[in-house]
Amino acid sequence: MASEPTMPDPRLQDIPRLWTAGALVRRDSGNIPTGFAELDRAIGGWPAPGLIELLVDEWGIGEIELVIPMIRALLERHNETSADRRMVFWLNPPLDICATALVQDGLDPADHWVCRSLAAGDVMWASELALRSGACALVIAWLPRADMKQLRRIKLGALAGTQCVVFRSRSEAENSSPATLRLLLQPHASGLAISVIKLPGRRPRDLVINVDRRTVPLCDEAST
Amino acid sequence: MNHALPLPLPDSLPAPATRLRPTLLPPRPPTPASRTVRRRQIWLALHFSDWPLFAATSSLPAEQRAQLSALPTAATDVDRQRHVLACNDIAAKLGVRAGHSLNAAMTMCPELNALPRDISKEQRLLKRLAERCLQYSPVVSTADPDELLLEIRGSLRLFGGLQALMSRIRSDLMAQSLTVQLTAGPTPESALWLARASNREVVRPLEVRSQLDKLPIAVLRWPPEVELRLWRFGTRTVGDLLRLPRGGLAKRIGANLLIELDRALGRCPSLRRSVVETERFQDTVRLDYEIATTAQLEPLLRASLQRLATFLKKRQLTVGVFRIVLRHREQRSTPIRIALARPTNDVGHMCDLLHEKLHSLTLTAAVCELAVTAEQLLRAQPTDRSLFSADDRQPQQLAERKARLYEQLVGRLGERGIVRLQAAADHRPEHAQRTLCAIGDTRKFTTAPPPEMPRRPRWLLPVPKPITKSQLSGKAKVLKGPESIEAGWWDGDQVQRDYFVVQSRRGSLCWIFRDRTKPEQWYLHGLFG
Repeated sequence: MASEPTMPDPRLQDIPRLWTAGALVRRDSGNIPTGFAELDRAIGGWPAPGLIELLVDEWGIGEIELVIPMIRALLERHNETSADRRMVFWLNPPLDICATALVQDGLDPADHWVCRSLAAGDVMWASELALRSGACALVIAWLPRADMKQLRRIKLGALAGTQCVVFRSRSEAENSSPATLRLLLQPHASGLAISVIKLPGRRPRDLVINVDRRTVPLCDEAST
Repeated sequence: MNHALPLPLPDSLPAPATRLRPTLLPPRPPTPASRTVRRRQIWLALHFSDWPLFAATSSLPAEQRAQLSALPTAATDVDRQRHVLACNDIAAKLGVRAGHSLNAAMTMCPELNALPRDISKEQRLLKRLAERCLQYSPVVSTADPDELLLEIRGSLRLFGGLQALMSRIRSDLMAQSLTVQLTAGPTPESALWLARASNREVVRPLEVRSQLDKLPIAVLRWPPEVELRLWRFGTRTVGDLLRLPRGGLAKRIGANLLIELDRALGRCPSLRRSVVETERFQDTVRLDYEIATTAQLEPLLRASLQRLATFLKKRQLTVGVFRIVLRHREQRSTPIRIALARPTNDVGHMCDLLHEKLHSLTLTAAVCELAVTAEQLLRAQPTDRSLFSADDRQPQQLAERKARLYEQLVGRLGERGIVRLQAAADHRPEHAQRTLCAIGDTRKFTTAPPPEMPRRPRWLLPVPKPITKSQLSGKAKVLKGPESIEAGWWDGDQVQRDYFVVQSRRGSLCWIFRDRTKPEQWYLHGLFG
């Protein structure tokens, strides 16, 4: 869990270039709260900047729900005027992204660029370009087949300052990957089951977290 | 401002006391004007008579123009009565005059061809003529709608004297079938007014006053109400006007018009904007040998772009669009157009874009000539750069970084490859979803959906996918519904649907609907991702 080091005395804050011992300890202040308490406890927030790999096979199980709080946090983090904000770049999504749903999530669709149906080579090229351009807050890419070398390049681009999320197939869980964080997503009766495959600084654990599907207020008027 | 400095200023300005004049009542400047002003400048006024008629016929094909010149023709104003502005000789012989309403003109001459005036075309033509006149003098200014002014003092020696220069200009313009009245005078205003009255060709500084005295006040082209007022005073000529007491006149017609009179007499300076020629860049390379691969082509084009960068740097310009034409020996040439989202003068960036363009280009034949032309040359906005910035290539401003990313993506994926989302106020999901060009369209359409609208799925299928009965009747669980959407009868794309949220066997939340016109058929329209 992200924890701010506490200043012992507020008067000390006025002294420039004063380091407290707490600041010397590596802390997770760069991490972004995931917006889900269980997930925050398990992984300590999304590592930022970094490459996050989500392994999914089905769509519509809450995989976008998982990243919406991150999008919101990243757009707010770069404190720019609304007219001139960094972009969220959706690369090669499998279906159309619904603009109305984004508005309902409290996002402005004008901040989102979408490239659809790209060739495999173009996806790699475009994601690396977008990551290095400094114009994007977040790059979300669907990489059906990417090898180790390409992922490493994408990770280097992500570490240069732009957050990156890649979606890959669940079968890739067997193979190693340079991603900072790897999560395997599966549908679950009450929400989304997440297995942490790789987590920086901690031992990879096989745990399941249930994330509520808050988007769809369910079953008050359910009928057959 | 893209205009040049107002030129030329006379060498000696009036005495400092006269420069600070009260707005209402200008004090009388010292007369006569200082001799230096009169010696330094000669203004040549070009007054094009029948200019609206010339402009209206200029774009017609030659045979049609010849036909029209043999018939009575007139150019009419765009006002309600369509007053005649100019007519040709045949119409004039039949009694048509400028100022007649179209009805009156038709009574005189029923077979009159009336062409409506095109003001923007007149302005374009005048600008082009002004650019052409830059060969005679560097100081050319336009006086709307139908006059040009050239300061020709400095050109006299080169062209062999005033008469030689004037006859040369006249023959040049006559060759374009323009009727022009040329008058040279010591001040721009006096030259213009005398040209309009079309009586003298050269007016020497000492005769200005006597020549102006004879002109009717109509040549001043003052507002009609002022002219009517002066007419009621009994003022018929400029001489009458100049004899009127200055204070009273300023009160009645305004100080600005008096200043115009002072300018004509050289009592105070007249400032005019010079016409500046539009910058163009063209670079053609003829190859000694033919090139068949883009890899070999690239260094040559880079060198060309380097020359473009030097050109831009010298003039402090940026480029918005550049074109490359690859000419082949026999086939049609291959054009490449590279449009930039933001004008730039960064040659490295242009080379990057070129590289992507060439990457996707397949040459149909060997290239024997290259030409690079630049359009949309704009004045450069200098940007701040960090003194200690390590990475000089990364632009500082976010807007520019976005523009660069967009240009690079468009270069490889095409204009339609990258879009920006937009939500529209419509209940039909297909119509609530629109895509815009990612950059450039700065309009903001997104309207918030009504708060009572149920959640929309984050994934939409481009086209609703029919579901079979077996898929439906499995273990799918209906979680919510129906939400009825019935809209679109007004634009011919009517939908009548009942939407349900169901959970599929594999755990996905699906948004499905039943078309009420075909009750048995179900469709999958979205997924709650």
